[in-house]
Amino acid sequence: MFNLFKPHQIRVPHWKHTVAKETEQLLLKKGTMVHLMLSQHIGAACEPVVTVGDHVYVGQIIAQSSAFVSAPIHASVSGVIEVVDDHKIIIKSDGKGTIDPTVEPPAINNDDDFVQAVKSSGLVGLGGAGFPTYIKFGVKDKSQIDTLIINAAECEPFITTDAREIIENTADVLEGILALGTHLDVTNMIIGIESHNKAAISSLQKEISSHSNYKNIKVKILPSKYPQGAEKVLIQSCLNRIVPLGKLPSDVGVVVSNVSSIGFLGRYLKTGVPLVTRRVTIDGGAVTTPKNILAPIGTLVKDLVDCCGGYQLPPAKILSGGPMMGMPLESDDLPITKRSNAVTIFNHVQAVEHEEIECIRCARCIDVCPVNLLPVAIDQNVRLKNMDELQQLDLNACIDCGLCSFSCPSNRTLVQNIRVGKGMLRELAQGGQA
Amino acid sequence: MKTLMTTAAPHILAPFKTNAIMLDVIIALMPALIASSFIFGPRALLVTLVSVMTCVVSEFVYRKLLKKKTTIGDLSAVVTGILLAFNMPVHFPVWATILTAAATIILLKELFGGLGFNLINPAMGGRALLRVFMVVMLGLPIYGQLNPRLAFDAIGQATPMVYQAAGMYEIVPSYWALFLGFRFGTIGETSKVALLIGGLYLMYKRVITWHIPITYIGSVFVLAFLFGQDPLFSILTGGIFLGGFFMATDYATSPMTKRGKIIFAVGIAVITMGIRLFGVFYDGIAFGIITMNLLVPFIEKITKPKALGVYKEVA
Repeated sequence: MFNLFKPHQIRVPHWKHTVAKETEQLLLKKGTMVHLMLSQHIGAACEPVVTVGDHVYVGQIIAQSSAFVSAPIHASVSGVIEVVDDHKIIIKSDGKGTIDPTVEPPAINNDDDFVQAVKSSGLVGLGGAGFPTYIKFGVKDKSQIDTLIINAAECEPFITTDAREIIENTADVLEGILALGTHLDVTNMIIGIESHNKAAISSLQKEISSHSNYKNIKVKILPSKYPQGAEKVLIQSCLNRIVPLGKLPSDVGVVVSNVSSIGFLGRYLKTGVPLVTRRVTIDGGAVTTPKNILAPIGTLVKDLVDCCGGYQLPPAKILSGGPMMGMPLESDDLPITKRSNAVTIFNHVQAVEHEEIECIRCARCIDVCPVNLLPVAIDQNVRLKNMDELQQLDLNACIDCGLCSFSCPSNRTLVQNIRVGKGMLRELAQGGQA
Repeated sequence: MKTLMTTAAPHILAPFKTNAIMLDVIIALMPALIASSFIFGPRALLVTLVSVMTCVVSEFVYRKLLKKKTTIGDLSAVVTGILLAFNMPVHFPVWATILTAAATIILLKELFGGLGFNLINPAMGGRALLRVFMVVMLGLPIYGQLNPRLAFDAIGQATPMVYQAAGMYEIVPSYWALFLGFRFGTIGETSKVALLIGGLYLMYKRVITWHIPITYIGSVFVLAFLFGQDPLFSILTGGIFLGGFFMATDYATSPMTKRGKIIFAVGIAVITMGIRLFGVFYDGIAFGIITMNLLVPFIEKITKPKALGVYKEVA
């Protein structure tokens, strides 16, 4: 748009190549190994409850923890336990995918049953954050919650898992929202979705208008602007409420859940099948045919790539997640976890090391920061190890979106140094206590 | 499989780089350069070329001698060279141009550490050097004569502001002549229309934001009105447009915070008008910008934005 008075507009590309493609279900052949990491998410790692040689069915618990911030891990394929060590359980698939015969829909009579059922399902935030979902849903004082926001923004480039969940499982999503809304006793239910997601938006609107019990669910179309899907940004965009630093969405009366998590919830309440598969977007210039795959958790990246027609160019950088916030992986011999919403595989043209030059003080990092930080000032003070100044700069408000580094014309490692700075401040605080 | 790259997120960067920004500034300065070669004749191009070459060569040689990384590729020396020439009279001697340009790059930019570290805008500092040393000490005139082929007869030898100071309002050029740039002055400052086109281009390309130029020009207008001057005449004379769009907006020497930019621009306007009204120089913009340049760290400190969700008092 022609507007001379708008601040710097630096658009993160969408690159949603896979949004119109049907998700492909990956059935692992007999003999294929799945690697289930004992640490699938934020919080405590699980303890194995199976031993080598055991036969397991899909959905059978193989590891769990008594810690509060945890979620049990279920076998994602049927087969035989091959390896159990401190970090992972490897199952050799029998190629049948037999579901545990004891799986049945959870019986829910009260709020505690609901929370317990969500806990047993092994659900963690499927949008990538991976926080055990039952904790979010089990808010202590429900009277303070007035709104449920469903995060369908999906602002990272490439990733289309949430969009495909909405398009392919519209009913599951809306049933999940209704179930959670009923549990939380809220009438204000908002699905926040970026405007470019036209197909997903129309699926939702069609389904909502054809069922009268969905009348309280609203579709809020948000500007396609990274990082729209960041929780704090989303709450601000949907409700104009600001979550105070160090507080949770529940402190402003909101529960936020990712749309893929909510779609899973809808299915789980009907079938009782725990979280054993997830949708993963496989994209990037090294992949022959980018697509969404519904894969057993623990599937190795290389098996996913085979399902996409293999590499068309040698991989140079493999990311768990998207290009803005994804974690680099050291090889394709690693498994996906419950958190893996995407695997982005760059070729050598895409994976470039950018030479850093001096800051020209253009202030783009300040203009684009969604939480009003001064990334350039933080960066300078981290480099100078100037702790007094750092303590004044609200580093902990940083949501790690990386827009500052993305926008920097001098290729400076801004968000990277903010992360370093957070660590320095943590160390300082711990040193002070000791 | 070859070793994979494992650098931290983000893994993609916007394609807009520092030299692209500088190139945009150079493009934005072209209308004014073309206008000046009509207004003052082709020698305007010669002075600009000499200034640019001197700036680039000085930066290159200085950094080579000190065994520092070569930085002329970022194009900032080209920008400084053009802006500096824009502050020179058209018949400024070549030797004086070279001297001023070399002093500007070495004393005002490189001695501070180069691009991004200089405290005052090199071109603006160069303008002050010019005014104080070249004019006062060497007796060189500040303003150039018009291209004789244009034959504007109603205008005398001095700058419009000198007429005004002398109370000779009847021979002051018309607003249109001022807007188009047919008046005496330095190479780049006279054609307001050309500078405006360049400035709006920079705003459109998001190289600069509205905060500094609009606040500055607006403040000069209001201050002139409050002090009984002709506000339109005030903004159309001197280096208000060149300074507001191209010099005060220099990244290295202006505040990075939005509120800071506004305070900065108002400050320059106050000093500019203070010097015009009560000082010994006819135009105070160079001193206004330099003074405010030095206050930038302080302005940034008091205008730190509040982070989202932070409610504590900001010191």
